[in-house]
Amino acid sequence: MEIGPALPNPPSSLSRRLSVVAAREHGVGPEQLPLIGIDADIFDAFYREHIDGVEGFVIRRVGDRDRAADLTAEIFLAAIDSAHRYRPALGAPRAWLLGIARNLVAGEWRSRDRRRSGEERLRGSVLLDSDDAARWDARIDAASRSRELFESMERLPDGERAVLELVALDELSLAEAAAAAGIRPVTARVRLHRARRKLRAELEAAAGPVPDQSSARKEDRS
Amino acid sequence: MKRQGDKGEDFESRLLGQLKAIVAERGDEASRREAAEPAAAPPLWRRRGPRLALAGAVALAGIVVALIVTAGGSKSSTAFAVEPQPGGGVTIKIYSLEDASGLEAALKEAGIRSQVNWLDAGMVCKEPHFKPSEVHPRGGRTFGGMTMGGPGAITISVGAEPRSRIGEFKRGEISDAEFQASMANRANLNLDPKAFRADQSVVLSGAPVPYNGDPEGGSITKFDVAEGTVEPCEPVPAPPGAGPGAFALTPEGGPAFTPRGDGALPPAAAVADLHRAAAAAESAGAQLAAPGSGKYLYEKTKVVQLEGWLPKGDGKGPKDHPRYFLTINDPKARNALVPVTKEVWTAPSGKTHVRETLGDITFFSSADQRAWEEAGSPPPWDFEPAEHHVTRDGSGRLRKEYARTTFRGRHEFTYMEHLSRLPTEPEALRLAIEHRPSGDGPVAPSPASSVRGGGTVERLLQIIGEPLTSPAVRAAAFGALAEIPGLGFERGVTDAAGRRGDAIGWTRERGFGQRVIFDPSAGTILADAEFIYDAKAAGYPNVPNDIPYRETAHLKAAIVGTIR
Repeated sequence: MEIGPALPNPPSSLSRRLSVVAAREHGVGPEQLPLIGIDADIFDAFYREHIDGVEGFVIRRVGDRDRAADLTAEIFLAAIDSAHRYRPALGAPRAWLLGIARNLVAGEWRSRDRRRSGEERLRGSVLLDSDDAARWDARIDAASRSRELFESMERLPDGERAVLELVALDELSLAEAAAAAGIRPVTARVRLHRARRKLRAELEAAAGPVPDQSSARKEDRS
Repeated sequence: MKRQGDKGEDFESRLLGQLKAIVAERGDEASRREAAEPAAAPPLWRRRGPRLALAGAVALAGIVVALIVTAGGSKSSTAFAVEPQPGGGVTIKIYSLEDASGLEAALKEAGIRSQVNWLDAGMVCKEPHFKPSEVHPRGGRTFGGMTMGGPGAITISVGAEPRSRIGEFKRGEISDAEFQASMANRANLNLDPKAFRADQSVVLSGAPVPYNGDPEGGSITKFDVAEGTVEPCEPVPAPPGAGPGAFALTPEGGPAFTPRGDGALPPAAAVADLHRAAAAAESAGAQLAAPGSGKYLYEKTKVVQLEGWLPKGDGKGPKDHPRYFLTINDPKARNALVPVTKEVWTAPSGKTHVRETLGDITFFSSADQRAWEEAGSPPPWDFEPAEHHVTRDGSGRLRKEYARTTFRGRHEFTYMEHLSRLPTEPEALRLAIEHRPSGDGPVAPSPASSVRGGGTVERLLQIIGEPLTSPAVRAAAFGALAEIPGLGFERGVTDAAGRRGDAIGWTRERGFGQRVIFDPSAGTILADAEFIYDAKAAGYPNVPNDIPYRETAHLKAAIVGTIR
């Protein structure tokens, strides 16, 4: 078969219209996610649904305004680039996106992605104006405690750290955190338990109790 | 969410603009590829019928599902099929909601209470007949309802997610084709009975819609989660302005096709012109044959596309790499019609050679035209020398040449055999493309505004437009059009190449529609267009009504021996 690289075909006008409506009404579901890389309207719905979450995710980890803006852009670019590889088995869209975000923040994806695209396509920081900068600085300040927590996890093994930060910092459910970290839920539970135990000893005096799972349920924050 | 109301000048809006431009460009690339390999529901202007590549259905799994060939909506086909899954749960493949009580029973057995409604085309349940609710299945997802449509079956899994073969595919244990097939079969929707509270149930309401020329070849199904009592569905015509979520496919509601034409023209005039076209087609010369080895099908067209020029490139493309002139719907853009002469040589293998030459760009206002010329007449993105390999022809026009291997490949010319088997008598042709069993006897044609009639008009024009259609089939298709009441018909219309003819037109959504221009004295299609009948409704506030969004004028088709 002479099919080009795995770009999905654009949807027919009927199905496309339906998916745009569904995306706006109910959010971009797993069945529509592969289309965000080729359908600007579905991407629009996806972006609006997740931009707050992604910015918050980045700001809880990165204290530098420009780097945070660059990362925000890079996370969506990476999502656009890899949407056609998305499968529902990789988790709900939010978990999938935050999995990408986590890899990018950790610097794991950037080099690979640059090599593939051959150029840096979009710098988020050049889009910031002075009003945005002030707003971002305020958000960055407000998230300073989260960043301390994030930094305090540095000593944890990476696998354990991934689960803990997704649950504690980003308020993902255990299942979502597992999907975002690309591991099975049962593994995630074990790792979360271990990470929490290790960190508790270190943090209890300085930073107060580590959030436990019951306070880390996913909430609708939109 | 909060940013939706903003005027659009913060970081988030600017970033969205940049990202959407990137997505739009990728989408264009994908559609260029798709233009050569029709996937689901090929629009008329792509002029390619039944070579429905499964790849399209696979890519869209979840929205449009795999094309299922059934007996043309015959009542004898199974409405749904239940398959138990290893490890518990079932998948239910729904071909139609016609057997509503049977499907309700099957869902109940699987642990989901439901109300199933199968409606006539253009009808919806009178709202509200239940209290909407939502469930929270595992994985953090919320399900409150969705609308799915397309040809073929919708697959629901209840209590089980059919095994994904992604792992096997990654390990190289199954081929790409097997993996794609498994993706095509995966469920469009997973319902977890455990996520439902005792007072929650599912409401499924569906209706037939046209697909691929079969007026009832597709269906649209709305899923909702209800809380408490669900009142019986009272079918009512879809209200004006209802979105596709309520099944209405036009802003006017009800009919899927709104014919557009010259209301003052008596229907008899249209019939006379169509009969004239049929006679001309019949007596036209020999039919084009598919190219033999070493030969090419040569097609020359003039394509006029509505594009927008953004003098400052604001928000389109990356900051250091802005785009100024492209197919985009932006109220800030200055719109122009961009003509491109396109020559395509298609070898029997499906390999093509394409040559595109940019014509004279026309803006809708002379001020815009001047501004663009003063800016040095920058070319559209597709012809931007910095971005593409562009040369100039003898008269200095920008030109691109490229080779392309198309997926449709060998299917390109097998379609011809299909066309050659079509009946050459008007009514028989219509019944054949409506998938009506031949034993049913004569059936009066449905009006052009109806789901069935509109789909038939679309399909007949598609058949006439195929360069390889035989004169007899083409004549029968014109004859069949003449029998359809309520055609949107207009005389004295000019196509993109300046030729005059008659037009058949209709709207399908929000001011967008199709318009096909034919020459009644030659019995040939001159041009087909995706047409903007109502610019405001179509989302283009700065352009006049009745302009093409994209028009393809067919200038020449021939079998040739060389590319030159």
